[in-house]
Amino acid sequence: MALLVVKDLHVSYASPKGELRAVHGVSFDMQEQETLGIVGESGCGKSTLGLALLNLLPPQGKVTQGKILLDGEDILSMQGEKLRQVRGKMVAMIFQDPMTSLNPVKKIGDHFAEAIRAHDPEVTKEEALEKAGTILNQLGISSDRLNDYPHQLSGGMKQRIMIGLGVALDPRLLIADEPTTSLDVVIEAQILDLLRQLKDSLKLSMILITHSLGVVAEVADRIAIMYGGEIFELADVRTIFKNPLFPYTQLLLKLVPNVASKSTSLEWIPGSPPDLSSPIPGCKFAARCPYVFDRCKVDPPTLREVRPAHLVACHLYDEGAK
Amino acid sequence: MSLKSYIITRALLTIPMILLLATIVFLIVRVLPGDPALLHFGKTVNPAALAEVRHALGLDLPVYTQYFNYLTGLFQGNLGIAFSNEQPVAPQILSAFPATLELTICSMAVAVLVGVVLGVRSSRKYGSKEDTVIRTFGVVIYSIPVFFSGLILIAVFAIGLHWLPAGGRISTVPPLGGSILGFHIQTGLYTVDSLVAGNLPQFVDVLRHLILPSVALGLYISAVFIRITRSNMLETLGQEYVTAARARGLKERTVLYNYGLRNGLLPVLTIMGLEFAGLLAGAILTETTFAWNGLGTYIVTAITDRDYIAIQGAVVFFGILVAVVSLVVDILYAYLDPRIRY
Amino acid sequence: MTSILAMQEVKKHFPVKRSFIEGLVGTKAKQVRAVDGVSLDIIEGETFVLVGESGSGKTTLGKLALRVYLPTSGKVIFEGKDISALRGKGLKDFRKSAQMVYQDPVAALNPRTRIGEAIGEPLRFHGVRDSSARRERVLKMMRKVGFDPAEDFFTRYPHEISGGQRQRVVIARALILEPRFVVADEPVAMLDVSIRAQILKLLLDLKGEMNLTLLIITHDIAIAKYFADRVAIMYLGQVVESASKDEVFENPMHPYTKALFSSVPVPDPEASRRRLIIKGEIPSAITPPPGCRFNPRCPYVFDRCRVEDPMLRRSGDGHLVACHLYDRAGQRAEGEHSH
Repeated sequence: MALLVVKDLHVSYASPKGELRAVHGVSFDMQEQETLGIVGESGCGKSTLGLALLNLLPPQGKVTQGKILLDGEDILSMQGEKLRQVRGKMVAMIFQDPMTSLNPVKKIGDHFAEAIRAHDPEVTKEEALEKAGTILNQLGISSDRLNDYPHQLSGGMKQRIMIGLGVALDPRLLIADEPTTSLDVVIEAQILDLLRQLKDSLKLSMILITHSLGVVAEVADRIAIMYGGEIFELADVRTIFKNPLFPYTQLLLKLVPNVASKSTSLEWIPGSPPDLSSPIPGCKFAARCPYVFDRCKVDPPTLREVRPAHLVACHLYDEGAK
Repeated sequence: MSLKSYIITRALLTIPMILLLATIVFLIVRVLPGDPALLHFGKTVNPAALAEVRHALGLDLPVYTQYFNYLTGLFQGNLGIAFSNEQPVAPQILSAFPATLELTICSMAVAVLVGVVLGVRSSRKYGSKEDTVIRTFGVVIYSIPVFFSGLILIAVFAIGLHWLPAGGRISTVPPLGGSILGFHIQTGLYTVDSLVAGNLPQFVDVLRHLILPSVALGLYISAVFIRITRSNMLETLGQEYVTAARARGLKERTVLYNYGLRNGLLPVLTIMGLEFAGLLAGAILTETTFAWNGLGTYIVTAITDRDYIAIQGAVVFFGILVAVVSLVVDILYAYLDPRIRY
Repeated sequence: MTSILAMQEVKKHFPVKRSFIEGLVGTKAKQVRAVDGVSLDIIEGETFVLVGESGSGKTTLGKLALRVYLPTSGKVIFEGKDISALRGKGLKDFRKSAQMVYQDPVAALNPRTRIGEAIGEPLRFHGVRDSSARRERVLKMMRKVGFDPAEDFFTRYPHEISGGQRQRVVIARALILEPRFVVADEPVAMLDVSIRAQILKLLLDLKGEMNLTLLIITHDIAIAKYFADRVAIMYLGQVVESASKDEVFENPMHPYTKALFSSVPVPDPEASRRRLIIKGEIPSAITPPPGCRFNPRCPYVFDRCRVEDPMLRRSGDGHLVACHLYDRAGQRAEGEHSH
């Protein structure tokens, strides 16, 4: 059985301009011990999707349709105590900015003790701190740091702590939302290395949300490409990089800078991402797509298996399409 | 820097602050035109008597000697002799102070309780009708002067309903306190003294007298707390660490108190310190309205008597009090927010 | 090849705030050595990219180049003149010919100023009083940075345009006085990946069109790779390596440069994951390590590195590196040079 099943998920935000459809009909499955990379630019709905997986949308956000099944249980129908116990224990999350993800008036040790004891009140604070010390050591941090306040730590150290808090309760699924975006490149490499190690040693299942194809190439097994609130392409990492089918993915790959390559010219995609506060009749990418034809402007494509285990939402691959 | 050295530094900083304040008050009284001694006499002046008064007050000495005497007096707790009743000012202020302190503390309690509870409520129900009602309440309450709301409270609850006394601090003679562990305790705070004396009916009587003035003054100040609490809580609850805490499955109570309130109320603490000074000033009006025999009443009397020495003494006393309160607030802040000490 | 901006042993130290007691007992204020002995030459007409992580001092260096800060010691020479010594008209001329493009277009623009006025503001400060002349020049500049039709955008407010367009406004404002030298501090860091290249390309096109010299300050190695003529790498207040772009990318010499390059995630799932990951983070610039600043993290460290600060030496054609590993080669190269 799949670890996670997302079925036709729709999320909207109330905004001054009206209803903003941040996530629009997203469906995917995830297996145990798999790392799924969700890639897209800002505003494509990837962070909203991440928060929805924890049923943790801000007050103005609402799931209007769809199901999220974790081990067969619908997270969206959970409330109160039941939901609380899923968060952290079943699904944990790491956020983008480690500088603001820790409570400034609490010691690092308190963060761990709170989280561990929130899910197992039997554990004493001392036991929790001991466990926290062991976790920190695994992450390459001295357990003395448990007595530090967040402001005494560097950004890279804080992100390690956040990862430590994420895995502290042995969650079934770890969601990492842009975990390296606000870090320097050397530290980014350290953190990605750490995530790869944990993936193997803890047999983690992970969702890695990022704008960087470089980052997913390093860690992910499968990749979902999001644009305008929808998944347009979903395949294993090699297929996405070697044989992308959706035009946006193809363009995105061309504009990723590659320090290792010989090429010295960089491209870009003309135009800007769609405004999600007004309904778009056809394909969301039609306005920027180089291969656009009439049908794209009126008929939204659906995500379907075009080749084995390679899903694309694009009319170019319809039967008989020219 | 450790908390200890922060406290020492901060405490040392209070000394120049108080010196500066004392100097400014001294200059205003001595250097500004008008002879304090002359004011004492009113219209007819006998030059010999004037000289005698000036000599008795030390006003015939050079200004720098006066200044030196004034400062040394100040450090010995001597605030001079009042014109009006020719008694030392310091003991008079000290005996009037507990009344004001008692009123201020109770008002602050009302203000913080109402302000923080409504502010938190308002932030949690952001954008709802309840939020609007609370915010409107804050604006309305802040635009009514204390003496006016005081009079209305008296009219309704004292004169109309006869539920509470209209003024004064107590219906009987003041409680004398009592002894605990062999120490005689008499603070001048009637609530404490009546409790120590074991006189429960008297304690209730004192509380009944405290309610109206505390509510009048406290509600007024609570408007500030509503606004500050609401905006700070909104900001704090929107922080990523709050979302991260929820994502770890912490209990909502823990998130609200340890993450929301603990951070959101830090700035409220600063405002509390500032408002404390405001409360003391507010006490002048409240005390007059409620016939409350405290420092406010003392100052009003000193002003009508043109008793410069008494006014000067009271102002310096207020100044020291505010300096001490802000010292306490800063230390508390540093204790609660580890980022302050560096 | 004339140098437009030269730095000679430039240092900028900032005092650390002391506590009240420390001030009383006269404890010497600690210094943050943000920039600590940088020498470099920027050649007229080139795009010079300065790469560094946060805490490397790169932003301070950019501000020193524009006389936002005066150096603690050393000299900044712009077109032959020491900019610290400039006064009056000389200083005003310098301000006109050297401009800054800021990182955050939202913070750099007053939300209540229409973008046409924002772009024209420097003209007003520099004495173009006639408002219709100003408008003409602004519209011309707006067309150059890609606002079409410029008249439509002239009266818009910053919140009415996209992030990429806001950065175009910031660029237009920096270029309206027709400067000769432009410092761009992380010009695209706040923008989405899909428009970064567009903005950088614009900056480069304008550079050619207006005969500018560009100093781009960035943490993003890709920007150096795709847009630089020459590159310098900064670490903890010092330049550790500097060379032409091709030299730096084909033959990185300093261990830090190598580590930096190999840290960049490679968008290729089949690429080898064997790389040089250095441990730890940049140490504090208040107490930099003795000897070579990189020695505590360097995989090739040897005894000399811990005591002696390596000089930035020539180690091949125009390739400068500050590392004891290349010392003998460096000396030889210098010896040959003197013949």
